[in-house]
Amino acid sequence: MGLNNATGDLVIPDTMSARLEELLKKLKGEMGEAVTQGVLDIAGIFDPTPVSDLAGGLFSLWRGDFVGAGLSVVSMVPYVGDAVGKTGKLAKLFKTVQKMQDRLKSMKAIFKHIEKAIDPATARRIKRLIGQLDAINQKWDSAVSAVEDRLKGLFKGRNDELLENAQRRVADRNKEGCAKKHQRQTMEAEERKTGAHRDTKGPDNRPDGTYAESNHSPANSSNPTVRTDDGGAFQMNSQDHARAATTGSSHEAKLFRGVQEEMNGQGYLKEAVEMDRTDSALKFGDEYDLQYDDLQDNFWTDAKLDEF
Amino acid sequence: MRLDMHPYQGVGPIQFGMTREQVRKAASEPAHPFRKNMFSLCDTDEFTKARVHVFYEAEGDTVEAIEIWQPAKPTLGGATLLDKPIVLLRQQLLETDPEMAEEKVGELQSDKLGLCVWAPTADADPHLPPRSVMMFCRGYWDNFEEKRKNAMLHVMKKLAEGS
Repeated sequence: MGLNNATGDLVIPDTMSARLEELLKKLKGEMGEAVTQGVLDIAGIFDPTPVSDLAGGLFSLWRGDFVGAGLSVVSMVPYVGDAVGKTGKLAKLFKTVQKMQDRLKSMKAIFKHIEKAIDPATARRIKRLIGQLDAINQKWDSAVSAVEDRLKGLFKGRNDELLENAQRRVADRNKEGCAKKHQRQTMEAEERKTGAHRDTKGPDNRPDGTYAESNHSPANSSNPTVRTDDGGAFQMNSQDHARAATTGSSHEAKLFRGVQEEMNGQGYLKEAVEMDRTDSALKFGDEYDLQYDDLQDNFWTDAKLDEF
Repeated sequence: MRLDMHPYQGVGPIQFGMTREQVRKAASEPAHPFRKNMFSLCDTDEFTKARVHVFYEAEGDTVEAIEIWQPAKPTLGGATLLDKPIVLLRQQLLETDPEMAEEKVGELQSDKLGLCVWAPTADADPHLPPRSVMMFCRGYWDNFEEKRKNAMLHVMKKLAEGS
């Protein structure tokens, strides 16, 4: 190697240690700025808006943390943040800081290798810089841990409160858009039938101009042992049906139905219906409470489940 | 809003890769955002009169899929899609794409056309038209099986813990 002298000792040119010091200084500036901004952004997600309650409500079904839902903290933070209009911003920040952490790690490894071969005064300055960068790094790690704790805390033991807040928020947000839609197309709640799909399906376009579509719960395709016409269902307004968690071809809908199918296969059909109910409550408030009560109390009874 | 579908390009004025802001400017009515379900990483825009849902990729907030619901009248190559029985539509699509997949009855996916069809009761009511058709961008289904597996594993684990 070109950096060793005749006796095999490492000899580092001054330019190399100076360059390392320069790079560390640059990294300190960039990382300090990114972490400061990131910590502020993270705080901004949780306070003062109740948005985290909305996200919490979405996951209330599982009564626990969702950080392990195949989604890392890195992806969950923008999920929550997105609800207040910060789509993707923090995800990018996480990636940026991660790259900086990698750079720091590399530079520390280089320094460890050359420390004894460079000018002691330069080595001390580099050590100090590394200490300052470690402190910045620690600040970031603490902020990330706090996010994780906060997210976990959201989903433990506060489900009723979370759901109530979420419902209120969704109701407020949807007030204008959905209210207009319901004025035009709503069937009275009491009019909507519940039962086997064969009894709830029918002409979608009613003479009075309203729509009613039969919505299976759990999703029809998630229940392969039950014939389509025999599955539990209720009538739903057409646009609400399109918005439901289980309907359509999107990733989200297919994931939801896939999960329900797995649940049904393992005997968790009632829980699968509860998933639908939670989603419905978050989107439509108490609009379909009657139908879900009927479906859960009178259709998917233990005797009915035994039939299948 | 005219709903002419163009594989891997978009539907009407909405093109894949457009930002949410661009979509909202291009649409002829206000968007009503909502969260499809717990697996959504960002809001979906509903254009109520047009019966269109626009799905965005979470990180860049750009269009990745466009779903059109009954009773809208989207067209593909001049042919309408949501006003004919699923059994007929399936046959016509198969003529264009013999490789078209049908994972579940009434859940069609043509990678050639960049199109999915959803007819949830196709087995019992093959004479009814589908409920929705969806155009997707290139790469939309990449890694989907992995996501599905992870989602299932997580939920089953949580249920097992709770029981």
